[in-house]
Amino acid sequence: MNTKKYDVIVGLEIHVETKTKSKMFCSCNAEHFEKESNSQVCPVCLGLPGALPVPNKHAIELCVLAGMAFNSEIQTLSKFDRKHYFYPDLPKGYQISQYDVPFCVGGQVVFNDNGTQITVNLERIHQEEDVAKLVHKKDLTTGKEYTLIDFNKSGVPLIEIVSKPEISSAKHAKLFADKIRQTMRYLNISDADMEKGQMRCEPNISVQSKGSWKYVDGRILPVGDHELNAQVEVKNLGSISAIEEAIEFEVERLTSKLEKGEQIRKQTRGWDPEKKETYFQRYKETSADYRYFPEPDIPPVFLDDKFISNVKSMLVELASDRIDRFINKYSLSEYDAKQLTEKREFADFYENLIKDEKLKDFNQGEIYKKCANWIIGPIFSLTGHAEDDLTIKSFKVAEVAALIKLVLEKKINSNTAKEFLEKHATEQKSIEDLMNTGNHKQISSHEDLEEIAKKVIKNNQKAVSDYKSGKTASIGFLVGQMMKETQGRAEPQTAKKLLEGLLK
Amino acid sequence: MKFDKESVKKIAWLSRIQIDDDKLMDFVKDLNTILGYVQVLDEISQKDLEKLSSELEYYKQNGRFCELREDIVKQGLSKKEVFQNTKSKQDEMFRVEGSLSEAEDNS
Repeated sequence: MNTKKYDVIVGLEIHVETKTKSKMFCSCNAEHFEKESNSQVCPVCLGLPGALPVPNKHAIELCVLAGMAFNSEIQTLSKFDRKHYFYPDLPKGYQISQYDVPFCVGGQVVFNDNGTQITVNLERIHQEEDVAKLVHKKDLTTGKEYTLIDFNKSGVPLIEIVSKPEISSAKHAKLFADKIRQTMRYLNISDADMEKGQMRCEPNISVQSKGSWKYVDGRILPVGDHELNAQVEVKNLGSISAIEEAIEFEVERLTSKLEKGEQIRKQTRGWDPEKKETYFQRYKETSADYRYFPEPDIPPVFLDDKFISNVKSMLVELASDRIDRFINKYSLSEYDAKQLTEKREFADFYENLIKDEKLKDFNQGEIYKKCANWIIGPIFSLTGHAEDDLTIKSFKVAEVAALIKLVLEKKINSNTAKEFLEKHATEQKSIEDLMNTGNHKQISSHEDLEEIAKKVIKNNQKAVSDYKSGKTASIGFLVGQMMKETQGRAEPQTAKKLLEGLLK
Repeated sequence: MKFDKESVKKIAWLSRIQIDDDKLMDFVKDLNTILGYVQVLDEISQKDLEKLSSELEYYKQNGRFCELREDIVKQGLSKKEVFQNTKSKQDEMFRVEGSLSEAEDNS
């Protein structure tokens, strides 16, 4: 795109299915992924006449929590509204949503682009309900198209996070969505798994000539006699990277249309992840066409002080703050701090580990670094293989602390420790049991190792003469032979020194 | 406000109701009559009425709000109950005519 001539203006709408046990307005199970079709439905979420919706308190707590995370203003007196449209995914003929008084107004999402801090303001975060799942089919004999409906997803709590149109590039849109996803996971608001549809992003994109527009109170307005180019909304983005790709594609498409002097109509487009292209879906309805009005079945909702202070207590330290604290308090490198805070459970594990009783008598600076290394190294490499089904939850903090203690006391060497760690996670064995089965105690005394060293020298004359002729690297081979003789129990440093002494 | 042919056509489309062109004028007349009943209110003087800024304000004054539900799962309907009023069912799902023509997802 010609960046000298045009500006890119993007606003993002992000839908997140929040993590409640039951649905938004009824008590049906909200966990719907891959469940038997229509097995979790009732008159409310089927939209049967006369059924009365009752809002889920925890769902509203999670919506308000999302607002607090981004410094939104919380509206303690709020209400639900009906948004009307006709489509089979919504049997009531309307979706219960929020129109003019959402729970959360304003707020900021702050992220980092190569060291530069970027702030994007939010318009709002509101509560609504998810719709049913449709499966489109074709009758093979008649060729007629038909649709199958599964209502398990109908009525699952959904929050919509709407940014102001302040995002100026595809990359920033991606970073914005990344930040939302991380925050949702950190606060346990949602798993935000885009492949499972738990998080959906819809960018609104427009390309305007430089100098033809101005930004006033969250709105894009024309300057003078200029006419603004219409915006395009893209749906069905199944991953964070698709957000960036789709915006880049649209910006190129819109720019080339403008260059040819063609008009752009306000429209909704889909994303084809195979071809990496957007495609036309429909021209958009306007807000008035949804005929919003207050939901008469649900009186206004008042969030009292007790409700608000309860949600505040759920607001834990966010990842970005935790990175800073890990660097300052535990003297970790930025890389280590980022790795450890990527998921809240990693960071919690680390902080519980360094505070474990068993490690309190060691040099704390050393403990901070050692514990970080054990998590980022051996534990992450064990949990990195999906086929083993190991997660950080497979490890017990007290056991890992016991293991690190044994290593620091030089009772076992690090190879044995890694073996123990794997057995602990895969077979749920305690470190004490592992120590007691078989002989794992590290051999570090000169007396015990000397006999073995002599034997190794006797049996490996080639390596010995190599060493004596100046190939000092062959000492490694001899140490390896000592490890073999002791089933890995020899303390490598002592073994090496001993060998060097004997070979002088 | 008054209805004309265009506004009735638009409302019919939004409601997914098919109205033949020769019937349009009947609906224009009927809807304007209905609007007329409400427009009677315009004739009342509103000078002495206490201003009610919003529906929310009304509830606030009365101190009555929505009861919220605890997040507890209860078993919904049985499969038999779910499908008892439909004739078109396939693979444990409701079957309806194709709706792909306009791929909409307004959530």
